[in-house]
Amino acid sequence: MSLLEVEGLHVAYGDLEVVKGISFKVEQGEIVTVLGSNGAGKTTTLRSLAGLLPAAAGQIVYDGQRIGGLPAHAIANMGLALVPEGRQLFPEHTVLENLELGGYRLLRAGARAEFDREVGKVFELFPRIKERLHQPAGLLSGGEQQMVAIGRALVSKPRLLLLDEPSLGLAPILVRSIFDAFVALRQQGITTLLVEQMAWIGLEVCDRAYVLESGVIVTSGTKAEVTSNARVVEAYLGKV
Amino acid sequence: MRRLGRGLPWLLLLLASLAPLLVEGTYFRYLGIIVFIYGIVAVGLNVLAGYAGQFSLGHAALMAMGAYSTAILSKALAPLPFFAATGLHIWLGIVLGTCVAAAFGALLAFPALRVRGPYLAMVTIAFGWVIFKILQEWVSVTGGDLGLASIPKAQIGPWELSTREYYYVVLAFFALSLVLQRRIVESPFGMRLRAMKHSEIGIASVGINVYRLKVTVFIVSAAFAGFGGALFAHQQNYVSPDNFQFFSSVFFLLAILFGGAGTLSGPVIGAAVLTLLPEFLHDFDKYRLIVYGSFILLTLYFLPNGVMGMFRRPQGRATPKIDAEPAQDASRDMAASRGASLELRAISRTFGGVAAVREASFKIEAGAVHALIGPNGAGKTTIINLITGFYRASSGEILLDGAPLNVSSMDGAARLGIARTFQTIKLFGEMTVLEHVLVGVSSSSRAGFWSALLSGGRGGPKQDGDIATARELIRCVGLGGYEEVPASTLAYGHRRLLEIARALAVKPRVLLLDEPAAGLVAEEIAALGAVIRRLKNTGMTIVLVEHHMDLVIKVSDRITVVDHGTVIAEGSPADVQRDARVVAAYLGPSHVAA
Repeated sequence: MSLLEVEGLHVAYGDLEVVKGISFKVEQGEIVTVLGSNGAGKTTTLRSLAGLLPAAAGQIVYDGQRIGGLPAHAIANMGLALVPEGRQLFPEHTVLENLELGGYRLLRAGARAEFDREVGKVFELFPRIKERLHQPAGLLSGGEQQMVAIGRALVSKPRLLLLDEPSLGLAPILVRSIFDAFVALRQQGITTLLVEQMAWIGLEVCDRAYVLESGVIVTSGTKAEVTSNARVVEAYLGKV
Repeated sequence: MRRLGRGLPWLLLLLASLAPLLVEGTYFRYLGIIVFIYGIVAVGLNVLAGYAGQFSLGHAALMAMGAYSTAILSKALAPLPFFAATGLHIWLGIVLGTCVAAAFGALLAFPALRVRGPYLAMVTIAFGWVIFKILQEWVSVTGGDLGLASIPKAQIGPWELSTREYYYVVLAFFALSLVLQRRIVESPFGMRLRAMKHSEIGIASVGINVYRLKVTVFIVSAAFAGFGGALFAHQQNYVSPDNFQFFSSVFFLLAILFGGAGTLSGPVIGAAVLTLLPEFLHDFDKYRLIVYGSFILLTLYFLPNGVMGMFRRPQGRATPKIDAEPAQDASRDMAASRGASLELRAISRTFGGVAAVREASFKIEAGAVHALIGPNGAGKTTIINLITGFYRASSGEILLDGAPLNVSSMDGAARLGIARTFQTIKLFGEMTVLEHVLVGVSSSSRAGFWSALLSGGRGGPKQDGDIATARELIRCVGLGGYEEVPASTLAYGHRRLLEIARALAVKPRVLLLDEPAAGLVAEEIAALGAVIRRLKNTGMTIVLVEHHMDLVIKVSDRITVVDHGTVIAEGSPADVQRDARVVAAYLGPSHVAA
């Protein structure tokens, strides 16, 4: 059974339908990348999976349970963590406090040691965060804030990680290292659904990919299949 | 539905004008007058709170300034035969009351320059309280708790107005204030107010002085309150501090929230319902206020945007038709003049002991595309903030075209032709794409409050020209077709393009772009590259902070690399790509130039 199965998902803002009946699967331990231009409905899809937007129709089954219609916090508690577009940190709280909010579930259960271990892993990934641990998150540079946002999701020990444009604002050298980290996370059993505008790297790390256009899936397949699709190459990979 | 929303208030006004013919009794006319007066005050508060987002709980005190001013003046002048014959003392008093309140509005604006939201509301409560106490204690002028009695009735010429006649006079003033409100809101001035509500930094970036805008809107709002207060004094013929208690201020805010804050006819509905409702609840006797409160509570629970908020256009992302070809000549009249050069000389900026920028020096040639790259936290955005006056440098100097650049605010920099976009997007909420750019285009015309009042809201050759310019800029960045779409529903990458269009609206000589390609896919990045080249061809100087190296390499004439706040390399794209330090600190091994 797939970890995530989406059937005929429709999402609308008011009268306007943005996601028009898409179906896809994410298997346990996979990295699946969703490509598409601005306005295609990628972010809308992720927000709907995380329970931030109601689905107009369709079914979302996560780990054998229908999660469509559940509130966002219930979905997060089931191990589905979203790294939202544009960071959405708590700017007046310190970096550590932001991470603690991400680890809310662990800390509430009294698992401080486990939380510290997770934070340690985040430091390995982003040493820069460690230097800034006690500064208000709002004073960090844009790229540093992005690191904290990813870290905040990771310390919740998610089973399914939803990443909305994780490379946004990161220097090229860091883009490489976070995507290496995603591959490492896969080895730890974390499943990832990735929306990424830097298509070349999004494709490089994935097992399978979907291409979304105007709210419908126009192409899908394994990494090799999608990478060899001429139209995808032209629109999303640029001249290589 | 929307048409109904538009027509409803005028229908109510028409009904109100016929009411005295249908309903007998002075009491109902009196109630009507109160509704209109409260409506006028609510219109003023609506402009301030509903449109500009500055919440005041001190409007009863401003109303008191109007009421007491006209009371004192008209009482003093009434015995003189000239005034008794002409009735001018009444109207002079009303004008004085309006002006005095406006002056106090300017006073009230000062806290608003520092605090906002609930804090501002708190400060205005304190203001109202001080005024209330002064009215109580300054007995020789205000009559203390007893107030001022036998204020002359309104008169036109030698004729004193009956309640019925005064009803029509006040109704006319109310209608006039609604027309004024529409003119203000639909003018460039009103557009700035709505923009300010969402992002003060955003409007400063197009060269608008936020301080002045806030002071002006407080004055305008206070003038409405004072005018309403003055009309009130001549209706009651008696004023006392009790008329202007804290609860009255709450009442006005409640009225606009109930009717729909930020809608043209919200104040009409709010003032009418909240004033008249208690009259219909007499049967409930002692439970009257409970029913009144519950009614308001339930209405706002089910209609959180107020009654008229329900008629507002539904928020939705339109499915626009994108123009395949961006207009080639769109950039034609974009650059006001040739681009300017910039030079940073040993510029530093520290934040509480941490040096974000350390002795950075480099020169940006006029008309060049100059990229600024470097690892995260290197200080790139801080440099942009220093150039645009958002931060003051701790030491060092910046030269614009060889002359020291001395700006301490972003709006000052924008007026010198330095425009920017933001890494963390600063747009104006649900305002449309076209309105965003218009705020920028009209900022240079200095169209202030008076021209809004005189020339009327829409139309006019000037504004038509502005709209045409704005449309061209929107097409130029590749958002053609999205003009009427609320910016809040744009996809992330498109919001960045909109910021560019808004920055172009001020006709910059230097344009600073902070990560414009973030969130764009390859095809869109290529289009952005074309836009940047087109802008360069107009002669504009462009400073580009960006992580997409393919774009940087393609469009830049020169690249400066910063790390830890200092310049570590500089040169042509090819030089920089080969620089070992740059590869180690920033690019990583996969980006080495062939």
